[in-house]
Order: sequence, then structure tokens, then C-alpha cells
Amino acid sequence: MSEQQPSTSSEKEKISDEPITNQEQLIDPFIDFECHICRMKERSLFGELKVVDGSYDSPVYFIRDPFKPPSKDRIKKPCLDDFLVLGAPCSACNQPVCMSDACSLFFGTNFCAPCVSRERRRFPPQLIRGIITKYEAKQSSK
Amino acid sequence: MYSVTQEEYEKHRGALFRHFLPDEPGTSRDGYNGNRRGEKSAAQELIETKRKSVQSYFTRFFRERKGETNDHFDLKRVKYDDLGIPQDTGGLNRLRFKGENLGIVPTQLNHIPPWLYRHFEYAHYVALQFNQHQKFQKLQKLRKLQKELPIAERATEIVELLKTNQVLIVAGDTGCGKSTQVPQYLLKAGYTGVACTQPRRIACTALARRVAFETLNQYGSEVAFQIRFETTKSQRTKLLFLTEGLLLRQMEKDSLLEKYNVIILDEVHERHLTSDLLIGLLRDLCSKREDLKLILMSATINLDLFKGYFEGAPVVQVPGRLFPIDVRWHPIKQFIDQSEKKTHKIDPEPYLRILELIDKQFPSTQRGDALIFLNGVAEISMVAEHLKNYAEQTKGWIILMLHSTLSVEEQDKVFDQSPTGVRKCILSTNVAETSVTIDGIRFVIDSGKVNLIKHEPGTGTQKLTEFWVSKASANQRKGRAGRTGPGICYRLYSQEQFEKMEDFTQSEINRVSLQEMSLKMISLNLGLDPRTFPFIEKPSEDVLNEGLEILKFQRVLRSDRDLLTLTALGNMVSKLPVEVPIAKMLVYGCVVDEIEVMLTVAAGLSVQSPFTNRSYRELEIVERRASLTSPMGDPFTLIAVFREWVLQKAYEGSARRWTMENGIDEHRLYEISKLRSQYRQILEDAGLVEKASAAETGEDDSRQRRIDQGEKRKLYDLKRSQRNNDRRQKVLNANKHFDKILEDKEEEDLEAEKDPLKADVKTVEFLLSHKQRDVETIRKSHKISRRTAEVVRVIIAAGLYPNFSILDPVNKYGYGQEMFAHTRLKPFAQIHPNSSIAQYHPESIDPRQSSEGFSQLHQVPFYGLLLETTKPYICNVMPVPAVYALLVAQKIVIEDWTELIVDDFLELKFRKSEDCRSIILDVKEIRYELTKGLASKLVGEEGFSSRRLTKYIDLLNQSIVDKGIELSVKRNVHPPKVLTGIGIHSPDGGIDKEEDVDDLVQRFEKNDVTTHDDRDEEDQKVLDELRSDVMCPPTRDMVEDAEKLEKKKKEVPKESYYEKLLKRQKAKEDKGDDKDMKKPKLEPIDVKEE
Repeated sequence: MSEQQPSTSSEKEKISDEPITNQEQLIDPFIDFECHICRMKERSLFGELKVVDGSYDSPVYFIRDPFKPPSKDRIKKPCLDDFLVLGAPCSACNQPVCMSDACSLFFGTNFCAPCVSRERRRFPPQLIRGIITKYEAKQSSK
Repeated sequence: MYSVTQEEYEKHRGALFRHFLPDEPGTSRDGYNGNRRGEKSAAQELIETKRKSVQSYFTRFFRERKGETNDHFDLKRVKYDDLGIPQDTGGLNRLRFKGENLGIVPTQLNHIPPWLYRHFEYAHYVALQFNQHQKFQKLQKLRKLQKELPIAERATEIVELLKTNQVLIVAGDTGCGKSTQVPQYLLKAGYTGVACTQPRRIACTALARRVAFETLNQYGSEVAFQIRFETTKSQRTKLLFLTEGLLLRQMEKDSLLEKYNVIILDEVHERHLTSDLLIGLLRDLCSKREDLKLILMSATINLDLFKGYFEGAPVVQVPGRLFPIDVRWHPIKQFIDQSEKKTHKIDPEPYLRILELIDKQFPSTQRGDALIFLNGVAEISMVAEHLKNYAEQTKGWIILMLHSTLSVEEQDKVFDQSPTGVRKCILSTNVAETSVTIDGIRFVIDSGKVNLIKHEPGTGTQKLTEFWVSKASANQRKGRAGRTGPGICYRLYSQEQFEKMEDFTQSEINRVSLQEMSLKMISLNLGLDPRTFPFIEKPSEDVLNEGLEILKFQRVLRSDRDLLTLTALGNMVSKLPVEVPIAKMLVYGCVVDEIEVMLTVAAGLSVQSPFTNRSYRELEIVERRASLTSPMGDPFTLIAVFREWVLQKAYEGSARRWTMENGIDEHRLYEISKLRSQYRQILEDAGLVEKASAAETGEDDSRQRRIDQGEKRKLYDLKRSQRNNDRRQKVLNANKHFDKILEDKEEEDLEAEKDPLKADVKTVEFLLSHKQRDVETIRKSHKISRRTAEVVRVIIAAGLYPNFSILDPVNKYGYGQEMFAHTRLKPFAQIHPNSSIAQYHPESIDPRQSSEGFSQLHQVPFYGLLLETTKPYICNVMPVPAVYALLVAQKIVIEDWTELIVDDFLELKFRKSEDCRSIILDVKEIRYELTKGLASKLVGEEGFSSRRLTKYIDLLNQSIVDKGIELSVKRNVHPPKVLTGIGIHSPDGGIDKEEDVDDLVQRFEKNDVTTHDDRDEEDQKVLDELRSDVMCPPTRDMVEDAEKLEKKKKEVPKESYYEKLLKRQKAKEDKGDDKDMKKPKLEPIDVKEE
């Protein structure tokens, strides 16, 4: 999984990008993303995000960067900064989890806080200290 | 262990940066940013941020780890376990994304050690990830803030309640988030077609922007606003913020408001006239449209009123959220010199003392600005001057002002930040109470006073008077201190005084004149009668009746029926989104084909004066612009100013400089030019003027079209980039107070004006909407010849009627003199000192009368507004020859052919009886033409030509000037309030009721009138001939004959003009009885005599 995908990126990008700008939205490409830990809820796109300057190697929940005006330049290919990734499924339990430090951790692949907590022995300790403390604090406050 | 020395890094740094983070195309290397107004593109800025973060990564790497690490930064070497957890170090494991050619060193960078390359790549991705992280945090923070709003807990409840109820009341105080959140809840629940009304335009734009941001649709159009000139609405819009007035106007076209499924009325507790009316209308609409949902949002203060009006509607009450505010009472002695004739001047000392107190108690390191509430502009200027001296000494304050007569640029300054260690102090009228929210206010200083405009029943005066505020608004003012943190409110009155204050500010419906509202209600065509309409609070019957009387006086409401019916004129007038007088001017302007000029006058009277307030105090400017002013009054000054500006704009390209030199607020002129095109559009839609053909506008020219398209694109881009720029907050200059804040901007503007490529949005917009041809039209039409001027004067007078006044006989007409004029209901009003007449041309209205009062020069000033501040003033003054009053008046009583009484108010006495007769004859002619022209315009009849009317008016003027008709002017000191017996009353008791526009309109519609085919044959010569006849003193019979002829003209319209003329000449020769084919004109009519 460390292998790079052959570069079909620009085509893939079009698929994920078009529905936002296109006038006729026959099928609503947006789905509801909800983090199963913090319950953050957003309308988002789901899929592989591959653009010129980088790519995510598994599907993610993403939207166009809402804080930045859409590029005036139509020729310019979109890059990672034109998007905002909200979250991704946890590779262990497959539940959607957001990008917050308290909810997920990326180490080789994406993990949600409960999975990290459960499998804590398999991670380098200093790496997961933060997320574990936050997660446990949240558990105890519930 | 991998390592790299700093020297090695430095060596390869440049190449790596160029490879990974090249400059944005179009950014030159030497640091000069060639963009408009010198700002960097956002993309370039982002690249620079990333460069910095990569650089700081390596700096830290060398400092903390001495350039050594175990990470190999090579993904290919990493082993993973069954869960995908890496079993090996390598920084890239912690990165969520990867480049396509990860780890492959491109050939041109072969000289760089592969590990350093990979390390740099890692740092670069860290920067990318950091950017993602920041954006995500921004979103998280936004959602957290939303969740923390008091209203958030009730979100599901609100949506659920709306499913089962048609009407819902949401009550919540400042800071509960109702205005921003409730519309979003609806969107989330899947509602589309949501309209949310706001009392103020600024709130519409600000809320639309905020809600769009919160719904992450900042750059889309799902959330839009619509205000008078602007809309961001598109087909995809689901939520629209619009002004109350606009929704009302939409109801005229679509009384069921079918395009909306949910209507939210926000801020209903403010009780504006339109919101009161909308509440009533929408309550009614709910019973007609079961699928419509209505949400009322109000503060909690007068909730019971709404609960009672919408019985059974559920109420969601939410607490407000404010930080604690400490109230300190600092009562001051009120009205030091109340006895003096001059107004009680405000004492600025107490305000200064509070500032000193703040300086003493709070170190300047603690942030927090001050907001002072005062009642009026005069008070603000006075206190500001005083505080400025203090601020200049201590350097601890920036003094700013905020009131509605400031230019937009000056107003915007209050939102800028003050530099560290300096506080801003904003002196404001009550606009800062609700309309404008300024962040960072910690101290509120409340004078407890407010200036309110109150309609004075019985005199037609708008009176601007100082009042104590209500408890509700005192608390609102206090609340302004606690929006961003705990604050302090200094009240410059005692607690006892506070207890004595009213609970609420009097609602508008009880305070203003109701004629415009009544007109609106009647024009909705729903059979509404304002006298029986179930208002949430019933207005006073007297005020209502007075409003209706005025409408009748203005001839927009039929006076002969009990049921409120609009006249044909009224119908048209109500379609135009302006006040009645202005609408009438526009309609008449179409009749006489002077639409270009009238558009300017109408637009100019609808906006604030283009002259800035400050300019009146600067002698140099006052002198410089003298040449622009006209002795014919303010409307003509306006025409000249607008013309000059358009020319400067289109040909000289130095309009900005010109406006500054002449003390003119360019925004007002832009507003006028926008209003002009809006009014033109409306008149075109109403069929009063013809649409410009494609050939005229150049739309049939494909080349022109392409150019236009390019320009439009450019404008769109400009607007967007400006909107994005606007979001950045600017920092104020500590040494520039209210009087200097614009200096930088002005210089910048002047600089920018020199370069046509740096044209700002407004200029581009202007040039785009004013083609060469349009500019030429304005240049020609606005250069007013004497002859046109007379016509325009008559038209404006017809619009302003019944607002005319009689000059006081003992006035002195010189510079700086107070000149008094008596209006029908308000004696001794003063001509406003800032009007063109009073400031530049006082001598022009001097009648220079003889001892008996006879003069050729008597004038009567028409006026736009009667406003009472310290004194009653008439504003927008336009004097016309006294005789012109006869052209527009409703009742003229002729007493033995020397004396005329106009509307039971103005008495004109002629020296010679034949003058009187000739004038009456002319007047009748003009009145008839005007009526006929109006009627044909209103039904869209093509046949009418204004040439004759123009000619007649010209002749009337000539006869006044050439013949030197002498008359005297007197006023009836006690004119009756209601005018009865409309018509022209002859000495023998006969009343000429004149043709009614409505009858004519009806007749036109029934096609009684056929083509006026031979109009074209009309010849100037014939006209002159006709008129030369009249020049001989006519006998009474002649007058009657003329009238009969006139009557006949209307009744036997098939007769050609030439035939009529022949008959008329014959009649004159016969000097008598050829009454065979005419109906008697002067029949006794059942008109109520007084």
C-alpha cells in the first residue's frame, strides 16, 4: 500500500470536482459525513482525492475549501490546498472519523481514537500519548 | 543515522525551493507586486507561507537535533503489520498524503543527496498538512461557536414545531444567535425557498455573508441577499435575506408570495411601519396558503403583543448571551441654558471626564474601545471636537464618528482596528444601537438621548425632536458593551431618570405620517382599507385620515368615492418605488418628454444631498462650487452637478478629484446614476417610456457585444476580488481622527485615478452602464435651455404639489439672512440655509415689490420636505413664478377678474384685469394639455405630442416676462385643512370642474378617442398664429368660448386640430353665439361649496 498509484490523477479529479461546479446536479454527489466520535456533521464528498501535488491513498471525506474563493483560472489544475479533508474511515473499524487530533490519528494509515486505545501496545508510545489522554478524558466525562 | 550539515542544506536550498514551491505565475521576483492596489494574490501568499514553514522546519531541525535523525524518509523501506501500522521509522508514515513521484529525485536535482531531497519533500508535505490542519481547525472552531449559541439547544425543537404549526414565534435577546442560526436550521431540515426579512439593508448583506460562511457556501449563491440595487440571488438560491420593503413590493406583483415556502420576519419588535404591515398581511396570507410557514423573530421585550396577535402560535424563548456589564450612573445637569432662544448646547465636559476615568482605571495594555451614544449630528461634532483635543494630547484615543449622513467610506472606518495601546472612541447616533454592530466595544457612554422624527399631525411637518430614550433602548445600548467580553456602561443620567423612562420606544406607526403606507395598502389590490385593517397596533384614526386626505390632495386617491380607490395616476404612482411627489414628477416627465432630466431630479430627491455636510463649513469649497448652483433652486443645482460629474467621469477621468474639490460625496452620485437606470427600467416596464432599441444601445453590433462581455467579466472579477479584500480588517492610524481619516484613502484614490487600468469597481460599473451615447444624452439633455427649464419647473411643481409656500412680505433677501416662507399648514418655515437659494441666490427670489405689493417678480417656493429641527425648515426648495401655482393647484377662485384665490391659501391680485384673463386662459390651456397628456400616457395612447404643451408653457412664461404682468401676493392666514369645491370658479359662480384624468383614461380605454392622424401637420406657425390672437385682451365671452372649444376638443375628438382652429377663429370673428354644436360648458354642478 505504500506503492504509488500510476498517475491517472487528473481524470479522477475531474470526477470528484465536476459535480460541485456543474449546473445540472442530476444526482446529488454529496453525502452526510458524521464523525462517530465527536458527532461533527457535514455534507461532503467521499472518494479518492488525487490532484497534481499529492494524493490520499485511501478514500476520504472532503469538500472544496470553503474559505477560499474558487479559482478564477479554469485551466489551472486543482491542488491539495483547494480542498478541505474532513475525515476518513478508520482502517481498523471502518467507521467514519474526522481529522481532529482528539478523534483520529494517522500513522501509516488512519485510525480512530477507540481503535488506537484498544491497540495501544502496537503504536510507539510517545506518538499516541496525546490522543489517548484526550480520548480517555472524554470517556470518563461521559 | 542520517545527517546533513547546515552548509549542505544552504547550498541546495534554493534549487529545492524552486522545485517544490515555485512562484505563482505572474508574480515578479523583485518583490514588486503588479496587482491592482499592490496586493498579493492569495495563491502567492499561500506559497510564501509554506516556504516559511519549510524553512522553519529545517531551522528547528538544525537547532534541536543538530541535523541528525533516524528517519530515512523512504516509504519503500517501511514494513507494516496486519493493521497497517508501520514497524519502522520514517517520517513519511505520519503524512496522510503523498506525491506521485515520491522519493524519485528528478534529473535536474541529481546533484542533491537523495536523503536530503526526501527530507525536504517530507518538510514540504508537512507544510501542506499543516495548511489542511489549520483549515480543519477553523471549521471546527466555527462549529463549536455555533453549538455554543443559546439557540443551538432548541434547533430540533424549532424544526419539529414548524412541521406541525404554521406560525412560530422565536423570541431571543441580543447574542442568542437567532438571526444567523434559525435560517440555517431550516436549510438543514430541507426547506428551500426561505425568505428572511430585515429592517435594514446593511443587515441583509451582513447576514447573508455570515450565514453563507457558516454553511460553507461563502462563494456559492445558495444563501443570497437582495436589496434595492443589488442582489446575489441565482437559481440555486435557497435562502434569501431581503429588506421588508422589498418583500412588500414583491407582494404587489405576487400577492401569494408563491416563490417562498418559509418567510421569516426578523426584528419584528422594532415595530417598523413596514414590518407591522407585513405582520398583518402575512397573518392573512397564512389562511390563504396552508403550505406557507411563518416565523416571527423578536426580542423578548414586547413578546406578549405578538403572542396575542398570533393566537395559538408556539413560542420558543431563548435567553440572550451577554457578558456581565457594570452600570455606573454619572448624572449630569441637564440643559444648562434651556431658557435661551438658541438650542441647548451640549456640554462635552462630562464625556471627556469619562474618557479620563477610563484612562485612569484601565491600563492601555488592556484592549477595549468606547462607544458614545448621542442624539444628533450637531452634538456628535461638538463632543468630537472637544475629545479630539484630549486625544491629541494623550495619544491614547482615536476619535471617530458614526451617523447616517457620513459618507460610506467614513462610516466604514469605525470597523477598523485601533493600533495596540490606543483605543478608538466612536461617537454615534442610535444607528449603533441596533443597525451597526461594532466588535470590541468595552465601554458604552450613554447620553440617554435620542432624536426622533415625529410626524406632527395637522401641519404636515416632520419634527425632529430630542427625547429621552426608552428603557428598552437604554438596555440595548448597554448591551453593546458586553458582546465580546465584560464591559462597563456609563449612564449620564440618574437611576431615577431611568425609572421614569418609557418601557419601549414608540412604534413607528404611532409616530410617522401614514400616507405612504396607506397608498401601499390600497395598491396591493387586496381590497384593504387601512382604516379597518387589523393592525397589530391600531394607528390613530386622525393621522390615518390625514394621510388619506393628503393622498387625495395629491390626486392619487379618488376624492369622489367613499371606497378608497386609486386614480389612474395613483395606480401608476404606486408602481414606482418612490415617494408620491417623486413618482408624480417621473410620470409627468414622461408626458412632456423630459425624462432624462426628470430621472436625475427624481433620483436626486430620493437620496441624500450630494454635498457633504462638512463642505458647507469650508469657505473655499462653498465658493468654488457656486457656479454649479442654480437660482432656480435645488433641483436645478442637482441637474448641473450630475451633468458635470458624468462628463468628468466619462471624458476627464478626474471625477474623484473634482468631487473632492467641490465637497461632493461621490457615492451619492453613483446612487443617483443607479437609481436613474432603475427608474427608467420601471417606467419602461410600465409602458411610459419606450425601451431603447437594440440599434440604439449597440446590442446589434457583435463587436460591441463582445467588448461589453469582456468588460462585464472584468467587472465581475473586480467585484469579487473587492468583496474578498473587504474581509480584511484594517488598522487605524493613531494620529488620524474623524476629520482626517479619509486623507490616505483620498490620496490613494487620486493616485489610482491617474491610471485607467486601476479603475475601481464603481467606475467600471459606471462606464459600463454609461456608453458614449448615454453620456452624450446626459450632456445634451442636462444643459437646460430657458425653454426646457420652464417646462421642467412646471413638472417638478406638479410633483411637489401641494408643497408650496408663500414668502413672508418682510423678508430681507441677502446672504446670511433668514428667509421665511409660509406653507399651507405651517406658517413661518425657514428656507433651509444650505439650499441653493438661501446660500447662493437669495436675491433671485426678491420680488422687489412696490408699496402696494405689486411686482412682476413674485415667486412661490415649492419644496420637497418640511422638517422641523430647531426651527421648521423647508428643504429642496424650488421657487417658481407665482402664476405657476395656477397650473398645478386644485381649486382656483376667480374674483372679478383681478383676484385669484388658489387652494383657499394663495391670493394673487393682478393690477390689470386683462392680464388676469389672459393668464387664466393660458393656464386653462396648459392644464388641459397636461391632463390630456397624462391620460394618454397612462393608457399608453400614442397620439399625444408634448410640443403644444411645451409651447404653451413657453408662451405663458414669455407673457409673464415680456408683458411684465404685475401682481401682488397675499396669503390666507387660516386656510381650511380640507379643500372642498375643487375646480376653477368663475366670478359668476360657475365652476369649471375640468376634465378628470380618470374619465379621460376611461374614455381612452373605451376607444372613444380615435387616432390623431393629422397631428404631424401641426405647425409651429399655426400655433403662433393661434397664440397671437390671444394676446389681444380677451373678453369674458371669448374666454368662455375658448373653454367651450376646449370642452369640445375633448368631446368631439375626431375633429382635427386644424378644423378646431378654424372654428375657433371663426368664433372669435363672430364674437358670439355659435353655440350650436357645443354643449354648454358651465353647467351648474353639484359641487359642495364651502
